[in-house]
Formats: sequence, structure tokens, C-alpha cells
Amino acid sequence: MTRTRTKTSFAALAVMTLLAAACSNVSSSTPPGGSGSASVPDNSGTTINIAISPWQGSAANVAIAKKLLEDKLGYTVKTTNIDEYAQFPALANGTLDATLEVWPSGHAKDYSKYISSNNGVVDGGKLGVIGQIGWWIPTYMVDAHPELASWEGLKQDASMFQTAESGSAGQILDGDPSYVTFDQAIADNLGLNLKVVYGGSEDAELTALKTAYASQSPILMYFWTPHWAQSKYQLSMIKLPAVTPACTDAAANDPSKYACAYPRDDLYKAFNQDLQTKAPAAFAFLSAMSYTNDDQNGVALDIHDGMAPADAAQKWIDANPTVWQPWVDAGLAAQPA
Amino acid sequence: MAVPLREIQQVADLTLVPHVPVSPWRRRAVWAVATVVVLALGMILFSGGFPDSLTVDAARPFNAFSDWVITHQRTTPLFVDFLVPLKDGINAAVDHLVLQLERFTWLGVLVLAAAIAGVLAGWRMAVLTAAGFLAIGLLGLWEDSLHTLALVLLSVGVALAIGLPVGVLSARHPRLESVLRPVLDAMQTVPAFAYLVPLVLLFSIGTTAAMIATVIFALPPAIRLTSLGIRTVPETSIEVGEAFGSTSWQVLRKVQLPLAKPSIMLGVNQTIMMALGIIVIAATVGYPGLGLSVYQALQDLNVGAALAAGLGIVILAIVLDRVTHAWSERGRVRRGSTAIRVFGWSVSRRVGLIVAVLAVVAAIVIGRQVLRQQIFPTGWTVSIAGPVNTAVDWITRPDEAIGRITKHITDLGVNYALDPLRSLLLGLPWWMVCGGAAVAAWAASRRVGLAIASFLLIAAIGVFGVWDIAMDTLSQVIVAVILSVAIAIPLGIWSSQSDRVQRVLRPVLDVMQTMPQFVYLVPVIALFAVGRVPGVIAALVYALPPCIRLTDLGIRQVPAERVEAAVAFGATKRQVLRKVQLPLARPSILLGVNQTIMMVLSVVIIAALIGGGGLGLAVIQGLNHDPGRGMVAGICILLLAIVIDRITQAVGQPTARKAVGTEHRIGWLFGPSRMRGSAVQVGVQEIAMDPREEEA
Repeated sequence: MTRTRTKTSFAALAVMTLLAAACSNVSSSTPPGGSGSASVPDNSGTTINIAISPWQGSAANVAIAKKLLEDKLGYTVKTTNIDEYAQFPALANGTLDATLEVWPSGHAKDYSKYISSNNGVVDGGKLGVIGQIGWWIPTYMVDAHPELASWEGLKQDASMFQTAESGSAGQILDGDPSYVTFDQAIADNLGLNLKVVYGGSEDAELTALKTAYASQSPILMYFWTPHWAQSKYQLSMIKLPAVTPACTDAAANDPSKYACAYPRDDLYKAFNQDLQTKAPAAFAFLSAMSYTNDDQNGVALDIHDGMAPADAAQKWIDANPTVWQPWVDAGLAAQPA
Repeated sequence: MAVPLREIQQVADLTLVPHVPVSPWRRRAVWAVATVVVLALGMILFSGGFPDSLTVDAARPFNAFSDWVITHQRTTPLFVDFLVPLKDGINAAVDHLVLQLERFTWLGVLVLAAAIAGVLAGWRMAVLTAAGFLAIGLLGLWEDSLHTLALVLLSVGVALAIGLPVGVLSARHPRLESVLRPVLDAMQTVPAFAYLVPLVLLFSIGTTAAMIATVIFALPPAIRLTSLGIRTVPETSIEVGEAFGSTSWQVLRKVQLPLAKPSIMLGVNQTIMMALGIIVIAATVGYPGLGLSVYQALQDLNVGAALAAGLGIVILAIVLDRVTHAWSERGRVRRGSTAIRVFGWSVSRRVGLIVAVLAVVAAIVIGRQVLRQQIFPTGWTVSIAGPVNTAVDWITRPDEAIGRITKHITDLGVNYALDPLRSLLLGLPWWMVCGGAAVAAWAASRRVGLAIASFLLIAAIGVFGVWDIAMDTLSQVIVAVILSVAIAIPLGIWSSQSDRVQRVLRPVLDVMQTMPQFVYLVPVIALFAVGRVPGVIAALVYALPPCIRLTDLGIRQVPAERVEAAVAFGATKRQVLRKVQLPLARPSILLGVNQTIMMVLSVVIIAALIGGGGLGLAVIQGLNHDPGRGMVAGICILLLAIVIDRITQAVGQPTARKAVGTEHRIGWLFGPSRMRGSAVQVGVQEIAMDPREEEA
């Protein structure tokens, strides 16, 4: 008895609810971007899914692309926060449409596996931002110990960076374990008594840096530019042996052979191979998208300081129409009539 | 170790106030000296670690598989015709559900949830649900919560659709049961991180991978408790049904299922709680929601944001837990009653239902036409993240006393506990470590089979080539467990002696158990920087509740007449505790220790995110560069977990049967201890369901 009644009540509840939703359908929200200029094409039926990697520079790229794709080209943009590792498989099968910042130094294998061998991913061109990964120390360290300007100095000074966690070796603080790094291999192959300790995230490194900086104590870390912290703190990169083809080739199949500096990274974009047919305007826009380290740093700093990514992007868009207008024009040119 | 303890236990059973003979202590001393001598000899005479010559490259087949998937996923029918459409279908379903919820507007969703709770579980639950949803809105977590709720509801639906029939089948076919048991064990023991690699390969990132991970994790209790419920239907009831000529199907539908309902409902409840427990993992494969907020807060070291999102999860858990609990209770108690009481007014159910429907319709119409707010208005929200972060910043100012203290603790922990223990484990020859596991297994269970299995499983870790990092993980687990138990048992005893303490502790423990384990990582890293120590601290704190609870429960369950008898013999309170209550509570306490160990292991694995290293780091890095190695590390976590779990379970088992009423009936059925924890609670109807003992 009771059970039947509960069931009936449920059915009634469900029906009424759906009815109510359907009846008041009239006021359903207007599509986004309706208020803009008349030239915005209606692509709202097409959803572009863009990956956000776990660092703020990436959040900056995506916030800008999302805003412009929605407001100027009329697409629906979805973002997915996802670690680097999963991006290439997801691009290959179309779950993701685009990722806007790939650091080539860490993804040589993925490039050959997915892009060169035509496995579902296409190279989306350069982002314009130039990256440099390396071993960084606060500049006050170099002032006090000039030999630290280059890696040979670490031979005698490694013990300066000892912590409980690294034991008798000096500590290199790495960030998110999902980042692609060669630090332990570099240290071992150069005969440096250093041990990699993973901080777990970019912000763990920044916290450690902040603490060390406040007391002017030693810290050695895997870090990179572009990064907003580069303008907040004075950091110096330790000179490692120059990158040569011999060095990168040796490490191509066995990463533990790596024994030189990180190469300069021309950050690039990567798209699903069907993006061009699915969304030609978005493809053209994203392919054309390119800006500088300073552009990215500014937006990333705003996001870091607590501004919502969309607001930070809007602020940059308002201030830099000459930078992004060509991207939008490229998109509009590719828009099918 | 276990032998003398068991003797004490037997004496305790016989004489109430046991006379503890001197000899066990002497025997323990002999054992201890012998152990030290053997270990020292092992370190001196043999080289430590696992020889490379015995390892195999287990990663290669996985990597080959991964390469095959990459090159074939756009052409092979398995992907094109099955996996991809399946993935797209699930993604669309969840997106649609979220969209639909958003179209109901926040007011509509809130009233709808309250109405469902009200119809199912009474007006009190309707009020609780409304308050919970309002709190979520006020905390600024509305949109995240909708995503989380959609994933949890669909995953639980799928888990039940699979779990209930399989549970019924396995209750009827003992052979299926014996095949399923180790599979279910594995599903509950492997940290979800370990199976993300193949999931991402097969289903890519996003909703589907998240949902499958959730289902895998949440399925076991649905199967186990359904099976248990059906099995424990009294034989006589079934015979009566058969005597009236019912078919087997009719017996199932009209006799077994109704009688098994309490157990099945408990399974539903547990399934929901576990699904909620894993949503942070879901975020790592790209599913948005509260889990993602926690995960991102970890990446940004934002303690306040992590806490806020964690609170959101706790609120959802409390609402879902209490509503399903009240629903099952109500079905039992008020069967047949057609009236509900609201503030003393008796209202017929039909009227209640009509009111509920009208309220929902009105709320949706008001939400859409008047308020026009799909999402909870941001103007009303209160951010707790800001104040919390201010407090954290103040605490962690550089060069403050707290910073010096925590640094000191870190150094102590590394230099005097973690490093020596790891050196010991790595310094011993591998067969001695495996032999140690075998001896422990034999001492605990007296079963040669378990001893041999323990030896082989631990040796397999070496064969797979991750011996060193596995020993690193093991050393962290041991340190965290010792500390955790050393804190939990006294607290449990204290709580058992004072109702006031218990009343204060209970809600704290509830919240602690419902917070995702990831939330624990954020504040410890702010306090203790990075490394193994913060991971160990997070693990030991996270693992406290079950041990405190089960110690408390075990002592409170000691029959009053035994305590009275001891008091009559002139025993002081302390003597009663030491000689009567603690010995009799031993099975329950050991169960708590077992749960603590498994929970510590799960946190030590994810502590790789904050510098913990070990097997967890291998899994996370495996996700990136070397999926095969990640998979292998995941499998080794499973091996380690199974060995530890089986040994610690065996320690408590022989006596557990005597002490806890339903335990012996349930014990053989429930492999992993954590389910047995819940089973104990079913048996005594003592503790409200512990939501999330089972996080990966």
C-alpha cells in the first residue's frame, strides 16, 4: 500500500515538475553574445572545449580565447581543467578541441606520437610566448656566491641547499609531479649532489620561495619564465651546459641520459584534427592567436591576485584591441556564409 | 606478539578480572630480542634491497597497449562503434541533467530537493534538506554542487542498477560469491588514482571517466549489502513462502527483498557516501564541481577555498546520509500509516504530497518568472575563504614561533622516524622483509596459506621493480599508523568514559570523515612545507576517527554485568578499564586499527602531491610520461594494501566472533575491514552510519 503510494507520489511530483518547467519555458535565457555588434555570427550550437593546464599562464590564455570566441564569433566555449598528461589522448579522440599552451621540451614524445604520426592531433601554431625552464635561485644568492651563476658552482655549494627531506644532498624543489622535468637526470649526469623533492604544485614552490625570500635563505628550484613571480621577485637562472642536438638526442629514448639545460620553448597550440571542419572560424581564430610574454604575465598576475579569469581577460581585451583584432578577423574570414 | 595477547583474552573471558601471568611479558621480551638479533644479522650478512636480476619489465605490456589505443582509437570498431558513442551518451546525459537543474532555478531545485526528501523521509528531512541547500548557496557553491550532485546521482543509479541484481545473484550462487569477493576487495582497496590511467586511455577525460571511476569505487557496498540482506532472511520465512506454492521469483520479490530492505537501504546509503567521497578524484580526470574546487585549491594552496568546497561536500553528505537513513527507518517503523505529523498536526499523506507538488511548481514559477535567477545570487553569498586565509597567513608568517616549531617537527620526523625506518626496510634483504610479512600473517591467522600468499605478494612488488619506492611508502604508513593509533585509542577510551566527551567528539568525527582526504593536504602543506612529514601528518589525522569510534564502541559494548561483577570484587575504575573493558573491547579496537591502516595508506599515496614520494609519485608521474609504470605502481599499491589488510584483519578475527553479535555472520562475507566496520554498526545500531570510511 504505502509503497505504491510513494511511487505514485513520485510520479506525480516528477510530472508536475516537468510541466512547471515546460510551462515557464517562455522566459528561457537569450543566447549569449546577443548584445554585441550585428556582425557576430551565430555559432552557439557549436561547443568548443578548451583545456586549462594547472598553471596561471594557461588560465590566462584560455580566459582570453573563451571571451573572444563567445563575444566576437558566437561560439559556446567549455573549459576543462585537466593535467597535461591527459590532454593529448583527449585531443586525439575529440573530447578536447584545443589546448593553447604546450611546452615542447616536455612533449617531444607526444608530438611524434600524436602529431607527426597523424594520430588525431594537429599542430596549432606558435602561441608567441617564449618559455624557458631552468634552475632558478634568488638573485641575492648569486650576489653572495658569484660562482652560483653557473652549474659548476653547485659542485661545491650543493650542501647549502640541504633540507631534512633531501638528506645529505642539496634540494632542488620541483613543482607539480605532473610537470615534465629532467632535474634528477641533469644533477646525476653532471655529478652534482642534488636531490629532487616534489613540492606538489606551482604554489607550493611559490610558498617556499616567499618564505626563503623573507629570510634571505638559500633555495634552489625548478622554475620558469614567463611567470608573474618573475616580476615580484628577483630571480636568476643558473647556467647549465648548453642545449645541443647530441644532448637532446641522447635523452630522446632514455630521459635519464639528459645532461644539459632545458631548451628554449616556443610554446605552441594543439587542436583536434576535426576542429577545422567542425568549427572553421574557431580554428582560424585559435590558429592566429598569438601574443607576448608580457601580455600573458599581466593577465596571469591579475588572476593570481584574485580577479576572476573572465574579468582579467576582459580587462586585457579592452586595453589591447590591436593585438586580438587580427585573430577575430581571421576567424570571421573563415566563417562559412 | 599476537599469541600472548590472545591468551590474555581467553583468560579475560573466563575469569572476568584476568590474572595476567608474568610469562607473556617474558616471552615478549624474548621475541623482541630475537627479532632484533635476526634483523641485525640480516643487515650485516646480506645485501639489502631487491636484486635487479629478479625484476621483470611489467610496464611494457601496458605501454604497448597504450600505444595500440593511440594508433587505433579512430579506426577500431571497439572505439568507433562502442566506447566513443557510450562516452558521448553519458556526457550528454550528465550535461543535460545539470542543464535541467539549472533551468529549474536555484529556488526550484531547493524546493524540489526538499519535497523529495519530505515525501520519502518526512517533513523534518525536508527542512534539513532545504537548510543544507540554502547553506550551499550561501557558501557560494551552488553551481559546483549541481555538477557534483548530478555525477553522484547518476553514478549511484548505475551502481545500484548493477549492484542489486549482482548482489541477489551472488546471494543465490555461492560460487559467484567466492569469485566476486576478491574482485570487490580489489575495487575497494586500490586507490582510484591507480585505475585512472587505463580509464583515461579508454574513455578519455571528462564525465564518463569520472563516472566509471565513481561507479567502480561505489559499487562494492551495493553488492555486498544486498547479498548480505538476502542471505540473512530467515530460512523459515522462505519455507513459508514455498509452502504456499510461491515460485523462486515470487519468494525473491515478496519475501526476500522486503525482508532484506534494511540491509539494501544501508547499501544504498553507503554507495552514495562513497560516490561523494571520490568526487575529488573525478576532478583529476576533468569533471567540474566541488571536487575540482578542492583540487584547484590544493594547486593554489588556498586553504580557505579548500575548506569551503570541503564543507559543501560535507553538507551534501549529511543531507543525503540522513535522508536515506530516515527513509529506510520510516519504511520499517511506519508501514501502513497514512498520516504524517507536522508540529503536532496530523496531515494525510495525500495532502502532504499535494502540498509538496504545489510548492515545487510554485518555486519553479517564482524562480523563473519573478526572481529570474538560475544560479544562486552572488550578492547573498558569504565567503569563508577570505577570513580563513587571513588566519592561515597570520599563522604561517615567516620567522614566527609556529614556523620554527613545525620545522623542528619536520626535522625530527624525517631524521628519527622516517629515514631510519626506510633505511632499515631497504637495508634488509628482500626475503627477510617478505618473510617478516609471512611470519606476521602466520602469527595472526595460523593459516599457512595466508603466510605463503603474503610472502609472494610482497615479493611480487620487488619483481615488478618498485621495491625501493614501495619500502618508502611502507615506512611512511608505519610511522603514521603508530602515531595515529597512539592518539586514537586514548581518545576513544576517554570518550567511552564520559558521555559529554562523546557528544563533543561525535560531530567533529562526522565532519572529519566526510571531508575529502585532499582537503587535509592543504593546511598541512601551509604549516609544514613540502615533504613526507606533512603527508604523514595529514594521513594520521584523517585516519583517527574510525579508531576513536571503534575503541569507544568496543568499551561501551562490554556487558554491564561484567563491569558490575568486577566492581563488586573491589576493582577500581582503572582496574576495570585495564582488566575487563579493554580486553573485551579488543576485537572492536583491532578493527579500528585495521581501518586506520587502510585509510593511512590511502592518504600516504595521494600525499605524493605534496612531496610524499613513494608509490603515489610513481602513479602520478606514470599518468604523465610512462603509463605502464603508473599502472605497475598502482598494482603494487593493491598488493601492499591486500597483505596489510588481511594480516590486520586476521589479528582481530578469532575473538571478534565472540564479542559482536552479528559479526561472525558478517565477518566472512565482508572481506575488507572497512565494510566490517559498518557491519558492526548495523549489528549494534549504535553509531549513525559512518559516511566515508572508504575513500581510496
